[in-house]
Amino acid sequence: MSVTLRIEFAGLCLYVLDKDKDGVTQRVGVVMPNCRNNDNNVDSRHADGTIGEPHVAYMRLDAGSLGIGPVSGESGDGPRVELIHRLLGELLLPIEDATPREVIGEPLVPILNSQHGDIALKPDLFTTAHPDIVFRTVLVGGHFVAKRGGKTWRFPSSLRGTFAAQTAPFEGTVVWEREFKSLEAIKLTMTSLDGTAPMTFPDLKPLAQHGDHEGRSLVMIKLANLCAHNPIEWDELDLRVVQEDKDFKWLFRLLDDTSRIGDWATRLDDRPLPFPVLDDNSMEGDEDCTGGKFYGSF
Amino acid sequence: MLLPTQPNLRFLTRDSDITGAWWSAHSAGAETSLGLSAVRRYIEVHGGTSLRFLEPVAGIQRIHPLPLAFSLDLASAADAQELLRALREDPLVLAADVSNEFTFPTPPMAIFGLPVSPEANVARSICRFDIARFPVTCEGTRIAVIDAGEPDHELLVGVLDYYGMHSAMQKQQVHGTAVTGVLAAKLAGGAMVGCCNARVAYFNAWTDSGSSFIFERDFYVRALLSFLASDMRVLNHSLSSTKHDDVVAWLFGRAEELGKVVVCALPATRHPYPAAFDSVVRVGKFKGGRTSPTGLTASVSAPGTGLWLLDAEASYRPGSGSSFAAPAVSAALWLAAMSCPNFSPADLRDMLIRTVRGLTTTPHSNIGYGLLDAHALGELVKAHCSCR
Repeated sequence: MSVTLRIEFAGLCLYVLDKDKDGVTQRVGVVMPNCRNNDNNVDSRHADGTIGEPHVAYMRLDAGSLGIGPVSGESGDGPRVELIHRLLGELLLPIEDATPREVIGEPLVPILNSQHGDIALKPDLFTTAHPDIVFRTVLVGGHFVAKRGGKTWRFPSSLRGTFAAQTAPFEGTVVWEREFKSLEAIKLTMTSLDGTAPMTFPDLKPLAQHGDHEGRSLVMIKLANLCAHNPIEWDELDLRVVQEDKDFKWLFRLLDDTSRIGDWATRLDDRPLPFPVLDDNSMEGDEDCTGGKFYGSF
Repeated sequence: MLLPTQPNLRFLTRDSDITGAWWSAHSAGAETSLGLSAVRRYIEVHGGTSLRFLEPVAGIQRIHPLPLAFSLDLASAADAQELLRALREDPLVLAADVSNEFTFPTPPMAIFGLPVSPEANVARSICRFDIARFPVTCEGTRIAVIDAGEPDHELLVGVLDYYGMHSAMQKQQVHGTAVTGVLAAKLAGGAMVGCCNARVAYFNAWTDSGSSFIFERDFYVRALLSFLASDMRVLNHSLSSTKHDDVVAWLFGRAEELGKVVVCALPATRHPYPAAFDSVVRVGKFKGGRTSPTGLTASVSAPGTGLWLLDAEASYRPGSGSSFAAPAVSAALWLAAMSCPNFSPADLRDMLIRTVRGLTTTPHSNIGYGLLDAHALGELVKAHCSCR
């Protein structure tokens, strides 16, 4: 008896890796910036004066896992009937004390920590109904599944040398898995960002078709914060292909500049906020629009 | 008359088209004996024998919708060896043994390189690789691959010669692992689970600093020179660049003059080179492909969506991209070139296009003239080869 939860994160997510003194990742917080259209809390103008494209955050569930729809096709296809829940809240994952808490691996996405330690997470992102976020969750245990085989991106050194330049096949989607040895189904609870109004989803049960080549029982969900152009990423609609991932600028809404230079606009000094750009020499792949990661406690 | 303790031959097939046809007939209650001639002959001679589908290792049915494992009752133990030999020589059979304890190869990647969705599987069954159709005469010649990362996977052991940097970071970049897997992955016993049984000369055009990848133009040019100087006929290329490089352009021109074919993934970026060079075969994804932002048109297409790919640390993942469609075409062209060395690159490209499924008069931007049909290509090669 066991079930493995596989979460696919897509689009604008900030992964906050909370490591202990030995460098072991004890937990990973995932927050999605609020990039919604028609939200009075959201100013679509970035600190560098450019306008950000609206995004929508959602959770995708397989109706088959809930027992109310046909079972899905093969695991690479996604659900036959997909249920979409728009996100505004915190997702609480099952708790199981018996398994190790350490999170193995890391997403391969641009690092947003400053070389000088003068960038911090905005306070209270993980404790309050912060207006700059639409979603958060905390991952404990399990591991990130590497998907590092696509386009080659360059994240420039910018902001007066704040970041080390990075060139890598950044992951367009980040996959995290955890096995729950004592469970046969996954129970998800969503609360408001202030921790109230808990709503528990019906049990998500593994589908035979979701098993992988190792024969595990999988429950798969997708958590996404994708641009309003084609947020469900249906093949039938045009998928945006970008050379410059300017949507990445939204992630700076979650960070504070503590350099005493001033706010972001002052610090930028007429330069744009940095964002990943496809390298001049790149492998081919389907990946677009990546998240970012930050090393720090929360 | 069957023996009281009936010996039993078990085998695993690699061709979903054949097993799919068997399954359809079996489900409808019809008698069938697969497309395997040795099995068919055996059943014709020994009337009491029966062929059954086996539930193989747990994962295989979950990944693939079609049965691949079969059990055949034998009339006598003495019959087994001859039939076993015939089956093991059949390119459609991955593994066979006479034992009730028969263990299927693990991981069960008989289906490696096959699309995971039923829809895409239809495409795969058309775009099938039956190397028996190709009168391959010089298997020793390798396919060149220029890619990214250091392949490190149990299904690539003994498959490739690696030229490039060794580092932990290079092993994390799995693009080249996935591409080489589609091209030429093999099970431990040597059974072919990629698209062909070529050995691969793999050139990694990237180094790293420990935290960033660095494209090495000199390595890249040297890789092209190595390809030109060798007896290799086919280069699989999934790297694309924004900038026209005169030296690279000249080398691609020389490749054509030297009788070599270059297969490029249709760019999903605004990086047109080298796919824009004349004489390059550009491969799009048959399903889910999109117009290339470069404005380039595909020559042909192959399955490139929802494929099972080799991944880091001996694992597998579903993935998509024209990078993973291109190796199917490279494999088919390698088989054609090896079958008939006299064919020029222009001959090979012409035959490739003439044999696609859904041939159109003008190429579609995403799928070119149509879907690769390796089977038909093999037949055409056989019909027109003047080597023998």
